[in-house]
Amino acid sequence: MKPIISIKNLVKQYSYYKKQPGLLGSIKSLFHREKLYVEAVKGISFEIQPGEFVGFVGPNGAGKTTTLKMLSGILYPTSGDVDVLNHKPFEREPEFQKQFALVMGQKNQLWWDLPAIESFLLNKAIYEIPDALFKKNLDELSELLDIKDILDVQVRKLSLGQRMKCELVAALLHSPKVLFLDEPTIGLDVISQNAIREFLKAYNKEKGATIILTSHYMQDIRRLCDRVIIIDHGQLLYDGTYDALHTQYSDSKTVEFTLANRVDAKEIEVFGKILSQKDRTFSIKIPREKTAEITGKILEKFQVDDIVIHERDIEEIIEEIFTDKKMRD
Amino acid sequence: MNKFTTYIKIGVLDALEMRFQLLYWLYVNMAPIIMMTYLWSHLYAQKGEIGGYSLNMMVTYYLVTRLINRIISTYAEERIAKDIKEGRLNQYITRPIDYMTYKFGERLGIRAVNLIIVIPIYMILMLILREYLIFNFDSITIIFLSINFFLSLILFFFLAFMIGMMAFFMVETHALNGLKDQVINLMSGYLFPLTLLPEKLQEIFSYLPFTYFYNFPMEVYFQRLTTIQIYQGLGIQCVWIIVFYLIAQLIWQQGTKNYEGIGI
Repeated sequence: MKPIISIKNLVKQYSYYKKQPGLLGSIKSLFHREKLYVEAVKGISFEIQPGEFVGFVGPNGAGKTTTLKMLSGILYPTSGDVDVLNHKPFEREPEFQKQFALVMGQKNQLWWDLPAIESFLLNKAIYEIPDALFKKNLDELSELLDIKDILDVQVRKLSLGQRMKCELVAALLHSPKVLFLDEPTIGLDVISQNAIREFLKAYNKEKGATIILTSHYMQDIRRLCDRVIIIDHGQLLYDGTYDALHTQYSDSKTVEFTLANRVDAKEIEVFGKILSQKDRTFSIKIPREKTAEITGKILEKFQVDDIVIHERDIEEIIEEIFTDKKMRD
Repeated sequence: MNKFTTYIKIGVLDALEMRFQLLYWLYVNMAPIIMMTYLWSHLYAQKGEIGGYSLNMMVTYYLVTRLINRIISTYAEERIAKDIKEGRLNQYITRPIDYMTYKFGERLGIRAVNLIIVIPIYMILMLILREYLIFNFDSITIIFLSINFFLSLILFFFLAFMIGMMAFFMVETHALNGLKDQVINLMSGYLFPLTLLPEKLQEIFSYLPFTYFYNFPMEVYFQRLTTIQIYQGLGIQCVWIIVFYLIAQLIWQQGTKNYEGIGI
């Protein structure tokens, strides 16, 4: 199948001016400014197939948003190729723009002082959505997201969760084939986060829309994305399935146990690296294949009040990828 | 066209939400005109005519130019600069929408609401100052004026659009906007009739777009121009519209290339 999104050796360089601090620095910069360049994205390549749900992960300043901006045509790439839906996004052709949508968790496209329905009607005009389709999509989306009774309320009076739902509806009215979501769940409470996750999952399944999502919440990625792309410092660190990421990097498990008596940390260290210790509760990292053996030994040697074995968090794994990378650099 | 009327509608709705501004408009429109009338009547006490203008013409000039200002200005520059600076432009350039057309429609809607509120205020003003005013309801004059206002509205918008777009290249556009306003005030006849200036200067100004905002329509209103002169004036305005449009497009293209979509 032909990929719906493909980028090759994509580079984005920002230029900025160096300014010395203080008033003198400001005056100097009036006459002479030193131009500096920073590479936000340093040659990334990947392909995405229609219907995929891809999670874009990386710390702040990794280049996620810059990549998303190049995919949606906000930015001109410095070099490399971008292809989305057989268009060059930065040419900003209307035929291309009618097929995708961009939702930014930290920015709203809805008219602040007006009820959401007015923004929906504006989008109807902008995207030239036929009456019947508009009605059908609006009914369906507002039903799914449960916003029917707030359509007539001024946007600024809505809660963050309600507003985000309205943002999603506004973005989906024209049935986009590709959806870019930049931190759609940021700042939301757990219930709203769940509602939005459930909705996105269903939308991806039922409509076959291709979705790229960036998020700081690993829950979003774990529950939604079949594929994870990790970038840091503008470079690709990992591209593969969520499960593979988990098995590849989680060759170890965490054992957490509480002992009946106080024990010296040295005695515990022999079993595995101590991740944390709080009073009589220890958390240690052990190789996956030795789980049974080591827990057996612990139970044998000490009087254990409580013991839990769990998989390592994806947060931990990603942190490890980032620190490994730094050490190699 | 459906798109464009929707843009106007959204502007109208937004303006209607800001009800408190109405009081402000009321004051802004009434106070200076009454003050100026007193000032002029004092100045005219010694002289019957200044620069070919009688007291009544002067008061009429002042009042009608204020009204024209309400009709033709769009105040779009601030919003455009803000869209660019705050990265709000992202949502326009990622949608199938022509930003310039959109902004024009939106501003038209907002200004239409302003005008609907302002017109009764001016009717009251005219009633108060009626003995100082010259009225002209000649239908040909009104047609010419309507055309002139429409062209000025477009020119004014292009100017605002260009100034606003400077936010692509610089952090602060306030100073530039202030400079633009000063140039317009001086060269357009907004502060005083240009007939008070030396003739050489008046001739130079007649090739620039600014005089057609206020001085020209007032000359038309007082029926001091021949029909040919009126056509000439409107023609010059059309030429400037084309020039401004081309420059605006150029800035837009360069600007959106430069644009870094700050803040998402």
